[in-house]
Amino acid sequence: MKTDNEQILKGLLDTLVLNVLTQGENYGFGIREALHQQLGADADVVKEATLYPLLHRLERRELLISYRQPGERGTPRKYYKITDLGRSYLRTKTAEWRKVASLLERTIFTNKD
Amino acid sequence: MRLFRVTRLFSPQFPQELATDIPAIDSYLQQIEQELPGRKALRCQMLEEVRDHLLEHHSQLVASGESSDLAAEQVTTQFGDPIQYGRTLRRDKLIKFAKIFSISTLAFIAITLFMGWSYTPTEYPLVETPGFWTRLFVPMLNAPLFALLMSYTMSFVVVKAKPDPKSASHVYVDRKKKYAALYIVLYMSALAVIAILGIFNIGMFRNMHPLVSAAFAILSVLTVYWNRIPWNSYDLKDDTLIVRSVFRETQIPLVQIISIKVKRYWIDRFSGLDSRSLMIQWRTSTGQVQRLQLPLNDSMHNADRLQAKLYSALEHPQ
Repeated sequence: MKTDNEQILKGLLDTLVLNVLTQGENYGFGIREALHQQLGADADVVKEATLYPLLHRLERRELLISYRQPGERGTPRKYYKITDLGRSYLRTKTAEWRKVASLLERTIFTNKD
Repeated sequence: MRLFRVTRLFSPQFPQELATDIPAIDSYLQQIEQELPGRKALRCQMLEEVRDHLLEHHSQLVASGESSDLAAEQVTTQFGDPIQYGRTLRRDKLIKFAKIFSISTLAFIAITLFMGWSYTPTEYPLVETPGFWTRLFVPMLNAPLFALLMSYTMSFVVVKAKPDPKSASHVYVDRKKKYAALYIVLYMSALAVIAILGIFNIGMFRNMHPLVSAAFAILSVLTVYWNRIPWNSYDLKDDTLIVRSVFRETQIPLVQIISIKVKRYWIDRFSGLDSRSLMIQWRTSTGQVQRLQLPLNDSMHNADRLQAKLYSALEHPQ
């Protein structure tokens, strides 16, 4: 059961990351912290080794842009910012998830106590 | 087979500037680094983000009362398998290399065959022309070599310019890279002159079809024009963007910007520096709509930051 839940959340991860970035530009650890706060008990699904490749993939698709700023620890810090394309992708994905949620609401959730 | 190690041949050591003085984190970073291709500066850039993450997480745990050693163990375990993560980063670079290599091989073969064809005297059928097969196969052998050199440089050598801590809002190119661009300008200018003379059957290109000479002339002039970009510099002040180019200086009040679109030209695809142009549109106080093309690439310090700040200015006009 836990594995199924993880699979669903992983499918949602790109939407969740883009959603975090609508609240403002953020860096890798900051995004992870925001996701952990939102996901609560399911936070373990967001492994760092999954998060960074996902951010790089979203950047290649031009849904995000990144920039580096001089950091306090000797190396620059990389920030991510959602683009207009990213916002429009997020809107589409949110509408799709809403449809799924509504479908479940009308079928499985109403039929079972 | 660990062929990617060839790309590390001249600088195989771990970049010392990444050392953190926390043994568990250093050892973790070294394990990732062993899986990365490219020269040291590139590997260093690929590792900066994970290093920053580990140190930030480590500080957070130490601040909450954890011992430094335990915190380091915890953050590295939580990050995941270092070998796997290194391989993921490596795969991205190898995919980039394969893409550029295949496209540029085909492009070089097409160009050299086209040139070979244009030299062919018209009195013979094409395949019976003296030297036809040589002209067909030599490019087939040379093209992958040229492509290899190009895709290797673009994937494993070129690194992004570091953000400048002294002037974060100033976008500029280093003097060394300006000299490199000057060399290309001189070389391509000479080629343009030779190609233009070739159109009139004069000089080195006299045996080429005039249309081929014209194509070379256009390509050379465009390359010269494009290589003016390293002399551009941009300044983002609180309320104004100042664009200095070889030809003029333009000041754009940020509140007047109405749209910013990213455009990538064919030449951008071959630069290996994530080149792009921001098409900025703004409405002046007299209501006139003006446009400006702002070329950016990764050899410019603070270029990506400027792009992000311009997007923010458009989202939150003051």
